[in-house]
Amino acid sequence: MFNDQLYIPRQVLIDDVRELTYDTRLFRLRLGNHYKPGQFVQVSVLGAGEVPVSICSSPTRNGSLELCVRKAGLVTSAISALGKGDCLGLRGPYGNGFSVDRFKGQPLLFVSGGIGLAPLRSLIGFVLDNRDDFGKVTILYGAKTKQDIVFGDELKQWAKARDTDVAITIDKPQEGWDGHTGVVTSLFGDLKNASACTAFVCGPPIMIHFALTELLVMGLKPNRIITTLERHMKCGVGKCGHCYLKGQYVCTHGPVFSYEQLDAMNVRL
Amino acid sequence: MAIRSKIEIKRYSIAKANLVSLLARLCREKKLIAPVRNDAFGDVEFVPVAAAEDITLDYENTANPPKEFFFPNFECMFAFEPGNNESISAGDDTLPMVLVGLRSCDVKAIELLDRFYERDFEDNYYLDKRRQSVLISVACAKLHEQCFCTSTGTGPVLESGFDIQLIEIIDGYIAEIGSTKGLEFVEEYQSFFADAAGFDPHKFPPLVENGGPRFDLKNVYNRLKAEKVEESFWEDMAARCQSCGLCLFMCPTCSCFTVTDKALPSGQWRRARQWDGCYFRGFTRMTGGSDPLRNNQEMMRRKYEHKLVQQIDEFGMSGCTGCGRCNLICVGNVNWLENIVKIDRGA
Repeated sequence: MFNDQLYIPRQVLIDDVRELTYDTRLFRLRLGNHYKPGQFVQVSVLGAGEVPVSICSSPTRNGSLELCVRKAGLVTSAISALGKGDCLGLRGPYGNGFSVDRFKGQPLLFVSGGIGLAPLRSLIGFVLDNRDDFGKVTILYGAKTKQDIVFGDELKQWAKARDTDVAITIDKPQEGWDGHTGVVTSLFGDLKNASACTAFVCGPPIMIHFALTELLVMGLKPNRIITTLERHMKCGVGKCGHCYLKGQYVCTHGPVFSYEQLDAMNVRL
Repeated sequence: MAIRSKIEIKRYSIAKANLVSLLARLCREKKLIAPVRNDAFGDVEFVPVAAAEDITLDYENTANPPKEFFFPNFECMFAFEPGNNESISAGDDTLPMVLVGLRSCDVKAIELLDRFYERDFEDNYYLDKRRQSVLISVACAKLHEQCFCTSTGTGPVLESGFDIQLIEIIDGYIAEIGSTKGLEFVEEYQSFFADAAGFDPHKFPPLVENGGPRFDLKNVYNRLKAEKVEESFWEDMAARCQSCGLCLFMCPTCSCFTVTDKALPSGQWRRARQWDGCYFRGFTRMTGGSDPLRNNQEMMRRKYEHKLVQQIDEFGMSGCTGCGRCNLICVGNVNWLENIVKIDRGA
């Protein structure tokens, strides 16, 4: 744990801040790599409050931890106002994270929309840094407009990695965009051998709904479709009750669940 | 100190006059919490006691559950100054407490909360208070109109969970000691107690029943777990629930909270936790307005499924301990007990 006491955040120096879009920033913190892809942290600004944020870096990179924060409410606005040399309060890492060992040797398909790429980026980084352990990698990414694309440079870099395909789409045609248009599921038609893949899906709820439905139709096994759920956790440690879902606490049992698990819990996405 | 180190039950007796003088002494020496009649409203409330003569032991149950003494409605988690990252300082101090006069349902509720706050991550705001508290319960000699502990398996007389359990007999009480904390308490105040090792527990006065169990918990569990309950049942409940949250605040096992940074009138800042509840419509709403909870029926069902399925699965005991407070307090006539009975009968 980064924090010594359950509810008291550890103050961590911000090493670097990068603009990703007009409302989204990437914060790099100098903090060891004792976390798993898919875990999250509770991030505080004293006086504003605390919110859960998924870790978007891979523990295989530089011993730092990165957080992708979109300015949306009170706390994320307070975080966004901070710069290099300021401190963020951190508790965690919490949650189960992705069980990377289960997917070794398999072709992997990443499907994400908007800022939903952030939690998957932690796993993508992990997979590309352990490239020999995994099969072909396909990354599909959709954003509302070209201004909403996060990690655009990295998407290009990932495309250069061995046996890795990347496709990007934006919802509607836009001046200055000559790439694919349509929602992210419109990229599914070009997939080959999709049914053999393990898919990781993250994005807005509506995107997750359609992606899961289509992946099932394409023949992916329910235990090979993995998503990570967003909930408004107040504690992150299974006490506050806000993320309770059909007998599970998303913060401690999740946030990563397979479609098979969600189906058994009777959760409809 | 451990919260509960269960021991094989030992029996002492305490005469009524001795109990009165014990309470007077506790009032002077400890932070004593006990039932006191509120003369303005007629309610009996579980409150810190200033004078021992205020205590009543003639009551069905207290209007408020005892959870607030371990999980207060506004609890400072830590103090700080905004913008000063070195300024975090500890929360409020914990004082040792003796709680006298809890009913069995509330003892079992605290046992459930203990296990909840201990599991996975230890919540020391709660646990520190529990470690420093002694629970002296008074078993019910008769089943009251509103309660149903015989249906939830949490009373009226307990076999475990208490430090000391008082069971009324003629002229006094048998004091059953159920934990090392209880034993230490009797040692500290031994002059008030007499040995009753030879007492035959079969000689307790017979219980005055209120009609026997109201429902079959196992059947309710099975029907909820298999999602057999009709959607129209939840719709009807959702139409009547006013989302006031009183049933949750009055529930001895409800433990949901929210966390906020607050400036006190003094200008000092606190990160504090406050009671929250799953019947507030914004409970699961996220920034930007999206809400994974699709409708109010789902909101209604979650509470039943949590207390009567999930907590039984996780803790092996019912998340409802049958105190009946929620039924008394509800402004929308959403009667928890009647609804469970309906689920049992095939709603």
